[in-house]
Amino acid sequence: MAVDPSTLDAMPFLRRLAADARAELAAIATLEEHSAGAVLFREGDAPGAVFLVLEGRVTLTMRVGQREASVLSLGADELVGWSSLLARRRVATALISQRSRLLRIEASPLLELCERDARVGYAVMAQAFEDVSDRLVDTRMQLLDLYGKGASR
Amino acid sequence: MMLARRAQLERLFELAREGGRALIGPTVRDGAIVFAEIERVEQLPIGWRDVQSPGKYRLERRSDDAAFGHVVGPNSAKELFFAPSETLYRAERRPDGKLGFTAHKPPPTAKALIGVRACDLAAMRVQDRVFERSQFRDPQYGARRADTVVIGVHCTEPGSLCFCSSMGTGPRVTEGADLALAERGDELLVDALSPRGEALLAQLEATEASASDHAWLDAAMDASRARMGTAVDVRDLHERLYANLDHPRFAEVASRCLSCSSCTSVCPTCFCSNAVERSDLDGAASSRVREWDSCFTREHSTLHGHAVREQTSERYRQWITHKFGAWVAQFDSSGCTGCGRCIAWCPAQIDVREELAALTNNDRRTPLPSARSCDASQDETLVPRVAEVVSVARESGDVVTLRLRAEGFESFAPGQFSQLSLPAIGEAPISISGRDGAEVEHTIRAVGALTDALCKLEPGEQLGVRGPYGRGWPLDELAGGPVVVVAGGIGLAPLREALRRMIADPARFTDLRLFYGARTPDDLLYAREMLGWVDRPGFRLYATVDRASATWRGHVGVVTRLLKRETVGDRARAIICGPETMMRFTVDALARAGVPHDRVWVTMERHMKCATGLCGRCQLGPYFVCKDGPVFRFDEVASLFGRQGI
Repeated sequence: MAVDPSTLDAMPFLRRLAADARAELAAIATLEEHSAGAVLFREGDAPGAVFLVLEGRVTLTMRVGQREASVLSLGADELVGWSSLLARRRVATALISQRSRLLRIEASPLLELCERDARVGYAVMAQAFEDVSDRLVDTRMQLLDLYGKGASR
Repeated sequence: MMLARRAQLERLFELAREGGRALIGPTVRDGAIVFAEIERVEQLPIGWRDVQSPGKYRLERRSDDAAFGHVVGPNSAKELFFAPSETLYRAERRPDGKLGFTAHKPPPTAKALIGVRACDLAAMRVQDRVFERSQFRDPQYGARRADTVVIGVHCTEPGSLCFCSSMGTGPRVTEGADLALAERGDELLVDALSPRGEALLAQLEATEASASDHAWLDAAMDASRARMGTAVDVRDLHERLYANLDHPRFAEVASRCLSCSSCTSVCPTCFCSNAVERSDLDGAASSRVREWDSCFTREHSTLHGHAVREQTSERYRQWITHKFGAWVAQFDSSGCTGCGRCIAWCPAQIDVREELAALTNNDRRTPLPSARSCDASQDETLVPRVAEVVSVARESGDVVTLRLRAEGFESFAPGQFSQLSLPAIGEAPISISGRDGAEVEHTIRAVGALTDALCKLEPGEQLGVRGPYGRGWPLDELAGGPVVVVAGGIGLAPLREALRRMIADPARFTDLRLFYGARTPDDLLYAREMLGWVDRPGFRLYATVDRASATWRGHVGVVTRLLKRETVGDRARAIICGPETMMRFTVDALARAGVPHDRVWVTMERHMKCATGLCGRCQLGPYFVCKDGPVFRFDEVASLFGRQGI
């Protein structure tokens, strides 16, 4: 489904972009809806699209032996599949865990647009940086096992 | 003021010991001048002086026979009233399994003190503030302190380590004694400072002192002040110390400090204590015993197996910032009287006067809360009441909720805590997680010997309970606007009764959101009860786990991630309970959402023993977590929050 540029207004970081830049981004984006249980991509897949969650929930899982371990769930305003911006294989599986509405943007045209229009490039990379930074901090907190035995409270 | 022959000391001894009072005064023992029971004037340290310098204390013969020509020795009046070891109560388990707790009362021992310097009289007043004029009164201290006759001595020959004139406590005896003496050769100048002192003085052979006698004493006091060594600049000292918590001098002094706690042992005002169980061999009875402790020990700050103040620099900082800083906010006076003992008895020769000057060698100041007034003290015997287990709910693998039948919780406010105990095992603070009439709930995680034993209790069994203690959640301040509740792990327990009350009152709490993070889905507390909440008007629940199970379909990740996704709004008020790290990130996330620090409340945790502010352990800067908290508005603790070693 093609995207009306006004849809991008839902994303706070895109609202800061000028209207013409938002229109350029909308031109390469599509709107998708998925039911719970759908898989956006699997761990090890070749790089592909990045997704912005408009509503719903996407859970990232990783293979641990014979089972899939849920490592993080993502919701509205969050980025899914950032590793494609680095042309890397998927590092986790993205499972729709709650009916979701997503903005899908293929990495190649997005990277081309970022190269061509520095405003878009800065906005996208800044958002990706913030997302990755938040996830790094969150992961550290999970590693600290704050609620484990020996931790306070 | 009256003038008497020094021989009148004999008469004064008789009068002081009337009615069987024990007379305590300075005497030479084991190479030092100590406070001990004496009966005769000859037992005073006649002809002795104590020469002191950093790390050094020696007795020397004087060229005269002055009885009070010394300064202060290693002990003080402190041990007479705040006993180094004191049985608080005795616990018994009867053959039928029922418990009994019996308060221990110290034997009535009327005392008279003679030869007390102005600095030590000031120390007695400081300890009176701590034990008798705080929110809770210590009856053991009160019983030992009551009806004590005090005969002070003006200090005409200060030692080289004395700085009472800097601290405003001496050298002249002006209060806290019945009589004040000045020794002048074979004469005594005697002043009555109380009606009892007047009655004593009336029984001495004495004549009215002359104007020249008054002038002599004034001159002697001036000379004494002039002879004192290094002065301490006490102006705003508490604020200057708190502005220098990261001063490099702490690391420097820690390289010399042995953390031996000698300074706190000889200090006439230090009041930290531990409480331990002393069990009979058959385990049927035990005693709870309070013992002097020191903030220089590792155990003093140990919480869940980790010392909050692991480094010597952190312990030295705690000691000096408390003594000269936090004390002012806690008790409206400095904790130091300038007696110099901590310098003389420091084996590393650390001179607190030098350290204070070095630590405040700049103009920085951090305001501290003003001293808290205490309108009404209540006696606190620290003796538990008997409570009985009504039911046990297993919340997760290592967490249970005990429903107890216990009296005394009528005034309970959500967020308060109890002290739960088992004879011969110990006592610990546990949050109250719910109340229903005469029954109260405590949710307990098995992390040590006591909590293990508590988690194994069965219906019908008994335990000890004290409380409720502390300041709870400010429900009235939360009403009327959006409320965000953020809980981590077992941190939901102290929030549960607050949540229940808010959910039951949708007219006042129209927009209530609970963000709850746990380790795994199995660790989510009160799951069934929470499912019953989700349909209540105005309430929304967001739960997340750090480690998901195969069947978990909810959120995975830290609780702050959930918070970021939601529009909190700058009108919101938030209450948070969880590990400090989780609370720190939550407060940051709330700040980014526009919720200022003065609309966020957190609950703090420190090592507690007494829960009444009397054991000195749970200090957090100027606060006692037990009675000033455990709930704090975040701006009150923001400057200390998350700092290592505080």
